[in-house]
Amino acid sequence: MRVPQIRGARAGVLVVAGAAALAPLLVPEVFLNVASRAILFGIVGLSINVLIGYTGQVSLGHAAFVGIGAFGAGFAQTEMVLPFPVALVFAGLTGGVAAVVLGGVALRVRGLYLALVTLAYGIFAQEVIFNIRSLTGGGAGMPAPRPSFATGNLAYAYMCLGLLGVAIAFDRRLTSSRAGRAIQALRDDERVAASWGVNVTAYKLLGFVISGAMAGIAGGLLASVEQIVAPLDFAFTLSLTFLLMAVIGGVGSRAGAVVAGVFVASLPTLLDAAHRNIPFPPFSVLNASFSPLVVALLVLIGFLFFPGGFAEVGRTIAGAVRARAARSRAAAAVAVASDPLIDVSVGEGAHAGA
Amino acid sequence: MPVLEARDIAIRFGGVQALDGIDFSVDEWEIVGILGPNGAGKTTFFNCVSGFSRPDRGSIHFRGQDITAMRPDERVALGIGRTFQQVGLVRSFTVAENLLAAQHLTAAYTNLSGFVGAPRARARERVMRDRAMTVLEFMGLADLAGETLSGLSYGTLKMVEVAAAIAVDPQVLMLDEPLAGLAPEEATEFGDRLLVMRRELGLAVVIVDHHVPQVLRVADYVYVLNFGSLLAQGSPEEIRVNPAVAEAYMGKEATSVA
Repeated sequence: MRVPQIRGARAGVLVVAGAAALAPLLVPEVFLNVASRAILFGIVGLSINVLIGYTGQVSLGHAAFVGIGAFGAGFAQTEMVLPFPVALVFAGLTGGVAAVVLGGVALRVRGLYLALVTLAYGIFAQEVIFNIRSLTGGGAGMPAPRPSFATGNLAYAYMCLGLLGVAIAFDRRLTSSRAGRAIQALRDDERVAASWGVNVTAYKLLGFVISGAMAGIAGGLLASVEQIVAPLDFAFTLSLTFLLMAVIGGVGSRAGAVVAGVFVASLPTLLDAAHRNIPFPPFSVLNASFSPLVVALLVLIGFLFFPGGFAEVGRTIAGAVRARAARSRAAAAVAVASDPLIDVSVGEGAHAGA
Repeated sequence: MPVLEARDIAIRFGGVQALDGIDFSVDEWEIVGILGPNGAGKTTFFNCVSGFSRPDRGSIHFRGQDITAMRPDERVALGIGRTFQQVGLVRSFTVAENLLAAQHLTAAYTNLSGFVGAPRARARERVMRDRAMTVLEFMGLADLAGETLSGLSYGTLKMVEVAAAIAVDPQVLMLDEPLAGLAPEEATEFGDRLLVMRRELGLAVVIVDHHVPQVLRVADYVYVLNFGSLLAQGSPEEIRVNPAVAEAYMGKEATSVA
């Protein structure tokens, strides 16, 4: 019983990966940068999921990590003349350092107070760090060129997609290895984690570092989508979007985090396209500016019906599909055993399963 | 030399002297019981030994080494394992995942090699999975390996917690009310298992519980706490006939045992 299920899951993963690999080819040229942003928001989704979902720490300042990574990558390329891959590593480092500073605070304050501190941190980054002209280029922004092997929009989208794949693989390894288990254990109960020999302080900080480094790398990649970073790109309100992403994706779910990131990033464009092409309500009413409203509504609906977010919706659908498949198999078996008109009955069984 | 020793432990919470001058020791292979009514300071004493509370006075020693200032995880690394009165497990993990997480210290690979899925880390993970199954089989819980915790009874959860504590691979195992929530025959079964555990794993065990008959049955030596002070100590036979213990604190229960 178990083996076919695992096979089914593996086949499902392959289908999704294949579809994702083909998707950029189907996106019109004008929307390719939107697609890149959506892919990168998937990485941001994973990043905030490491912090909120696995480590159990709330963050209202995640845009700061992403922004610091973006400026880090831009600065490394423009001012330090480093090649793109090195600049990306630098972006990850700056994001990680920015997060560990906040993590140090999180060791001392909890819950609502931590949320307020992270909010203050995000505003501080926006108002102070992002306005240091020598680091960020001021209002004009900091150039962040693309690597020579991916200057075109399609090539860049594929590079981002590949790195999203790497991020997903990393996240999988994280949750099934020692460090990920230690981080999740301390999320549930710090004392229990300590009783298993986990250094609670170190692993909480590690959660921040991993989340910050992923956010920083995503930021570095985001910078090169438009090939310039300006302070306004990482306003602290973006942090709220990231937080909502984590919630509608389903806290703690890898797939949910990625889907929610892609969804939230592409929603304004999707709404706009629907607005222009579908001449009846609700699409004729909603345009891109309603995107935050739609996200907010999804969060409210989520809290009412699917507290587990997209992840729970997915599990519910998968469960229903499996149950139907099992029922139709059972119906077919019964039909074969009892009914001489095998064709008709199997047809009905298959129909029930469709 | 005792494996674990506490000297003159005292701790005060606000106006309450939770512990007042406790001397305590556990020898190699020994099962030591701690009895006492609610609020006697048993769990507080556990917390002082495992490092979750810092005593105001006194010192804790592990094989002669003063560990009073050590962090909880450092004490675990030395070999002091424990369970909790409220079930100390990770709710979002399956039974097997709890036992894998509990092998944090024995997972002898670096976090980085875990992240990249290095062969060494993968090989080590296989060993850990086997070990988790061995411990679960030992505790009679092997069927539950893939189960989530939400479907398990309180008594079963307590046993899973003990399994996780064994997976940590301690030299001294401190059990905080492992028998609470168990049916009488389950409690007897656990008592038997404890004796086997000591023999096969070479463990010293400290057990805090209200289940006086079981504690007196399996323990080699018993301490009785009351209001933060030692009321009595001795062999189970001595405790059983100790009039102060029987009358004042154990009531009918101990009298019926005696």
